[in-house]
Amino acid sequence: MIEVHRLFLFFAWFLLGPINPHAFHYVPVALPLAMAVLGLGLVFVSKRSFRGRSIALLCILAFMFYQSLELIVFGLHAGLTRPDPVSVGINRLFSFFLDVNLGLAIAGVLAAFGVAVFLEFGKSRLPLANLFPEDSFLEPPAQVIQSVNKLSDLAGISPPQVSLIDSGKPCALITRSKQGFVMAVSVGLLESLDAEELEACLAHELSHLKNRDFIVRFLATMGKVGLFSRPWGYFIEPAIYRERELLADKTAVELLGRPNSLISALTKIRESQSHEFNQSGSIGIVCLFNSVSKNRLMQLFDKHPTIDARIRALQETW
Amino acid sequence: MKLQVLHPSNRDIRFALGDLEAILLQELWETDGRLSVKELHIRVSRNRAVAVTTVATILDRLHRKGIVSRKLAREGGGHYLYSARLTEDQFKHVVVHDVMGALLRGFNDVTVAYLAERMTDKPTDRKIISKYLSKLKKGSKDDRSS
Repeated sequence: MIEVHRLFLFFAWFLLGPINPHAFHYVPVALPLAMAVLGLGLVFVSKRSFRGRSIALLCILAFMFYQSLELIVFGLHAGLTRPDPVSVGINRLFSFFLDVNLGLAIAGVLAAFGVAVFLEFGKSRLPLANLFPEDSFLEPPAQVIQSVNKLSDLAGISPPQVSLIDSGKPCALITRSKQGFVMAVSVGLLESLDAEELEACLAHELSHLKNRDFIVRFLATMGKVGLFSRPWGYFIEPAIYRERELLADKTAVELLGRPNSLISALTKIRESQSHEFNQSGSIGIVCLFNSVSKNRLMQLFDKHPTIDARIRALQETW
Repeated sequence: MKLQVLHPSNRDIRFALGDLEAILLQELWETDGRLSVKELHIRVSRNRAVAVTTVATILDRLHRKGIVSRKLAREGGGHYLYSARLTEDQFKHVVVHDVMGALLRGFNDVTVAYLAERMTDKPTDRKIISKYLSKLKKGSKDDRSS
C-alpha cells in the first residue's frame, strides 16, 4: 500500500524542490507552494513591469533555495537523532529518492556558496583585459567619455571607467573590475551608429548599473546553482536576465526621453546579427546584445531577449 | 591569410569568400587609398540594401582572416580605415596555393593523378601546365649551372 504522504512528498519534491522527509508536516510543502503560486501570479499581474517580473521570479528561486536549506537543517538533524522508519516496496523507493535529494541539496548549497565566492573574488573581479586580448584596448574618444559622464549624472550614479575595444564588430558592454565598473565600446559601434544612437546604447549599459543588475544577476546565478538538481532554475535564471535587459532598455529611454534612437540602434544591430555576431555572455558581464538562438525552445535558455522582442517592448511601452 | 569556408560552386573570388566579403574586397581593390566603413557602406548601398553594422561586421571578419588591414583614425570619434592587404592576383594565388596545398597534403596520390589526367585531357590546361613545367625545368637548370 502506497503511503499517501510519501507520494505527495515525492511529487512535491519533483515540482518544487527539496522537501524535508523526516520531520514531515505540511508547512514545508504548503509554504513554497503558496510562494510559487504567488510568484507566478505576480509574473502575470505585473505583465507590463519588467522589474516586477524579475523580482517575482527571483522570489521563486529564493524560496526554492530556502527549501534546500531547510531540508539540510531539519533532515540532517532528524536523520541523526530519529532515523526514518524502515519502509518497504514503492515507499522505500520514494524514501530513497528523498534521501538522494538531501545529498543533492547539500551539494547545491555548497556549489552556490562556491559560485558566490568565485563571482565576488574570481572572474568578475578580473580586469576586462582578461576577457579580450591585452592589446585590444585603446584610449576612448573624448566624446564617449563626455556622454558617459553626462548620462551618469542624469541617472544619479557615479560614472564608470570607459574603454575602447579594438574590434570592428559593433559591441558595448559593462563589467566589474578590481578598479570598479568598466564600460567598453568597440570601434565598430562608434563607426556604425550616429551620435544619438550611440548615446542610447551607452544609456542602456548605464541602466544596468542604475538598476543594480549585477546584484540581481548574482542572486539569480546563485539560486540556479543551488537548485542545480531541479529543472526550474535553468528556466528562471535566464528569464530574470532577459527581464533585466528589457528593464535596462526602458530605463535608457526614460533617461533620454526618446525611444527612437535605441530602436534605430537595435534595428541596425539586428541587420548585422544575421551575418555574424557573438559576444561573451559570461557571468559578470552585461553586454548590449548577445547572439540569441534562432530556435524558439532554445531561446528559453538565452540570457538576452531577441532584438525583435526588445524593439516590440519599446514600441509597446512608448 | 586564413581561408575558412570554401564555396566550390562559385567561379570568381566568391569561391573563397562570402557574397558581401567579395563585394567589399572588390571595392577596396578598386580604390587606391583607404576607405572607412561609412564610405564603403555608401558604395555598396548603391546596388544592394545593407546596414552599416553589417558592413562593419563583415570588414572585421575580413580583418580577422588577414585579407584586409586597418588603421584607427581618431577624427570624428574614432573609426577604422580599411585597405586590401593583397592585390587581386596575389589573392587568387594564395587561394590556389592554400587549396592545392591542402589537397596534396590530404589526398596526395589522387590529386597528382587528377592533375596528370587534366594535362592529357584538356588542351588548354595542358598548355598551361607544360609552360609551367618548362619554366620549372629552366629554373632548376639555371640553379645547377650557377
